[in-house]
Amino acid sequence: MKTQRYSAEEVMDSIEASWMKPKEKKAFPKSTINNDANAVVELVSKHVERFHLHQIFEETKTEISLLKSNFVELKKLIVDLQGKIESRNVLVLNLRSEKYTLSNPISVVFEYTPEGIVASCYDLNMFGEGITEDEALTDLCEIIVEYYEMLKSEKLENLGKIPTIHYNYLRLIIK
Amino acid sequence: MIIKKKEAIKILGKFELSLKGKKERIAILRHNGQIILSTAVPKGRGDMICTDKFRKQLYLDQGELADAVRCPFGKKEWIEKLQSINLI
Repeated sequence: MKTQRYSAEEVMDSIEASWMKPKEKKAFPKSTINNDANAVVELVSKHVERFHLHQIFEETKTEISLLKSNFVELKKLIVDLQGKIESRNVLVLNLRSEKYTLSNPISVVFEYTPEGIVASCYDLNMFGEGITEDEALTDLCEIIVEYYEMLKSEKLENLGKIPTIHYNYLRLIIK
Repeated sequence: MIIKKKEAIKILGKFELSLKGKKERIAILRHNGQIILSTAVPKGRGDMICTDKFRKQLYLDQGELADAVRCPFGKKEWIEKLQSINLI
């Protein structure tokens, strides 16, 4: 790399043009700089430091701006998701069956999605779905009745751990 | 991920779950004579809104469900998965 030599005057002209504040121009008149190499070095190193700080400042500003826009996007996403996922817990007292009634209510959670509604009975790990709450609940009740009848038709020793738990629960609440 | 109801029924068939109930709304997995798990059979057509719950009933992750819909993930792989989580 070829190095180029600059006179003190050339250096001063460059600094003066881009970085020097008016006070400094007064403190370091060109005539002084021309005769004082130390003054030039002092001034140049001050400006180099200022330039580096300025660079860091600009980079930080850019990063902050990026973080701000990411934050705004995240907020929008959260609001969007909140609008999509909603749920409601209800107690169901009617199995909608001609054969069976409930002696105790069943806890059902309605979950609302853009595609429709899911009626969940977490105590039995069973779910119904529909376009309306009524449809979803009817679907769930039909499934619960079929599940109960299937479990009832099996010998107890043929039920694994989880089906046994479900059957014991259903026996308590269905009459 | 949302699958179609007919795809869900196809998976139940692929995993060889038995359909039970008057309206065949319950599908069960029997292993060594014992019912290990059960899931509801979807009714009608269209998207299966509770795909995620169906998937969890079968102890599948999203990738495995997608593979079960396409083809690579069959009954053998599913049983191995259930064995790996000590369900059977």
